[in-house]
Amino acid sequence: MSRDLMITCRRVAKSFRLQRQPQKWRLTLRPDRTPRRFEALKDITIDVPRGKFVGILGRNGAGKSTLLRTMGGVYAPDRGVVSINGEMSAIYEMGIAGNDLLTGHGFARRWFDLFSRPGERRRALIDDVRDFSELEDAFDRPIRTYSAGQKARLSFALATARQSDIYIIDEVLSVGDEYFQNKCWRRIRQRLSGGSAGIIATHDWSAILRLCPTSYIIDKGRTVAHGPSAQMVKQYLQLSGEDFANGARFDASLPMMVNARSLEDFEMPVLIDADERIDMLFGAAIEVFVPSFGWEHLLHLDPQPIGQGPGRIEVGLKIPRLPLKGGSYALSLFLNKRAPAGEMVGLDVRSWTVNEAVTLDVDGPSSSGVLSMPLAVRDFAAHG
Amino acid sequence: MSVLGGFDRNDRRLAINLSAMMLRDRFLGTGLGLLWSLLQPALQIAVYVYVFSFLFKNRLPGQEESVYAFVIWLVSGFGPWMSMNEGVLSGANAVTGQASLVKNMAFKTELLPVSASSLGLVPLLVSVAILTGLIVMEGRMPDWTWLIMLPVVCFQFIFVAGLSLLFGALNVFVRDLALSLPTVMMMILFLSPIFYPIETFPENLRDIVKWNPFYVIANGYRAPIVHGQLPPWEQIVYLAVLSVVVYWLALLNFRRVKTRFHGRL
Repeated sequence: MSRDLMITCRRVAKSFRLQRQPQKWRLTLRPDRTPRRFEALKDITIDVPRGKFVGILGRNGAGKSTLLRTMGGVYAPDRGVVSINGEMSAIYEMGIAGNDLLTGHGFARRWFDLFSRPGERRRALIDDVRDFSELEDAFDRPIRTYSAGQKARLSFALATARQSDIYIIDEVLSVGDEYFQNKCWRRIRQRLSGGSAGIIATHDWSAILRLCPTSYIIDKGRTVAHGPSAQMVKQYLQLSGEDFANGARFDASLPMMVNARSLEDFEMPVLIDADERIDMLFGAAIEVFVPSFGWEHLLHLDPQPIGQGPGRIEVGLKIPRLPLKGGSYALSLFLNKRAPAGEMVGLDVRSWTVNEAVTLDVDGPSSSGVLSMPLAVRDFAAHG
Repeated sequence: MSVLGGFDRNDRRLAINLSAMMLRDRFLGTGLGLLWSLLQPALQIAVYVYVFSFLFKNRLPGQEESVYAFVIWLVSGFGPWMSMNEGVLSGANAVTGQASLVKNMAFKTELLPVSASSLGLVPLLVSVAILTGLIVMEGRMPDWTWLIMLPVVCFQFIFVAGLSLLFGALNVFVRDLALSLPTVMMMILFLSPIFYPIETFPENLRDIVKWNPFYVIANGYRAPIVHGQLPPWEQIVYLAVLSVVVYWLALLNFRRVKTRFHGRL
């Protein structure tokens, strides 16, 4: 294995025997010779490079948790090879495994007992867990009194208390309040800059966008795609099968890319074809991707009524004195209709998650920041 | 340690931590806590001593006047039994009881039943402490024959660890096992010459009964403690061979089936 790869999985497969409940008498008379198996992983090939976090996207039941446990050595693969190149810290499921009569403190002590490394200062680690989890008095109360969020905080604090070479994190960051989630992100970034690598499985794609330069999509136990995270997320969301109502769409003449100049009026015609009479709404957004922070929403136009079909409708999207610095942006366009119950139903979308957003290339100075702040200086003295 | 199946230094440290964890977990949340681990065997000994020595008024042949002599004889057999019973029952539940560890931690799961079987050493220590007290009160002193108990403890541990590995793995697939095991162990206790002398059996059965491993182990303590004698050497050799064979077969079986645990836990 290359020294720059922290984890490699080569054509890994793992299946579980399914237990047949009924017919106990068969168990005693004749062993079940043809046990049914559930193939959780069929063919998984994944590399985790040094110093990078890799994302695993997949729907419920795609095999994410089985994959992580196989990578972490909890499950032995039936076929294929998993190699690990360093010390590992793993959180496989939220919540606390074990006796819930233990206090948080007792659990932390036990965790570091079981996962101890020679010559380690346990007391300092436990203090760190106490501080990071912010459990305060609850740290000395039994875990059975904890809320789900408190358990999540404790287990995240435990798994990341030490600088490990490799972190395996399963669906952790979707729990807890936003304040704590941010804290978790900070800690992961800190570990990342300390040279750690890791793997994160989640269906929270925004987390993957923020942390992982590349990711994998797995579906029904196979790796189906691998590439830059933004592209993978797009593909993954289509996998989830987002349906659009029929009746109207953006015209095929809509360009893939438009040019604009900083601080000049921006105008773009958008053609819409409607097959029938629908009350249509049109919205738009301009976003920019900031590595390790994700997509930033810069400008937003709430869906506005634009009339009814049938036929071709032209909408002029106009932004006076475009307040963007030079650079590349994603211009997303949304076409909706109002359903009888009042909620909005999508007719067509061009955004980075669905189809393809229009790339907006802005010419102009590219100093720090993304928005230009217009400043009007008025000379009060002249007017007396 | 390679004789016992290729466990390294980290595994040993983990095994000790697991034993401590299981011991603590059992009494977690109780008022007396770990004190119970000493109190429980002491109370059990007290109950059986009361029943056999004071209700049934059993005495050793030739020492009909001495309650001490009989109590020492009784405890020197029942103590080791209690230890084995505790070890086997804990071992049978070791894998199913620690399902969350098995599912969330990468380690050699065969350490679980081995660690659990070491819990039996606590009642053994309690019994030996009580026995030493009784011997001293009787006016005797432990002599050099007591040293035979060291190899006996080792082989007993290996034997019980073997049974634990076997039952611990089986119980994942057939949960009825751990449920019925206490009753089965009770039957074995009353079928073994532990509460009564082996001479109770008719002559022709004695040659079979004396190879009962539970009896052999109990006798490994009884002979030095009660009579200041070494147990017959062929019993010790038999115990050594049997314990290692049982342990290895159970360990190989455990390693064969442990990849299937995850579908069942």
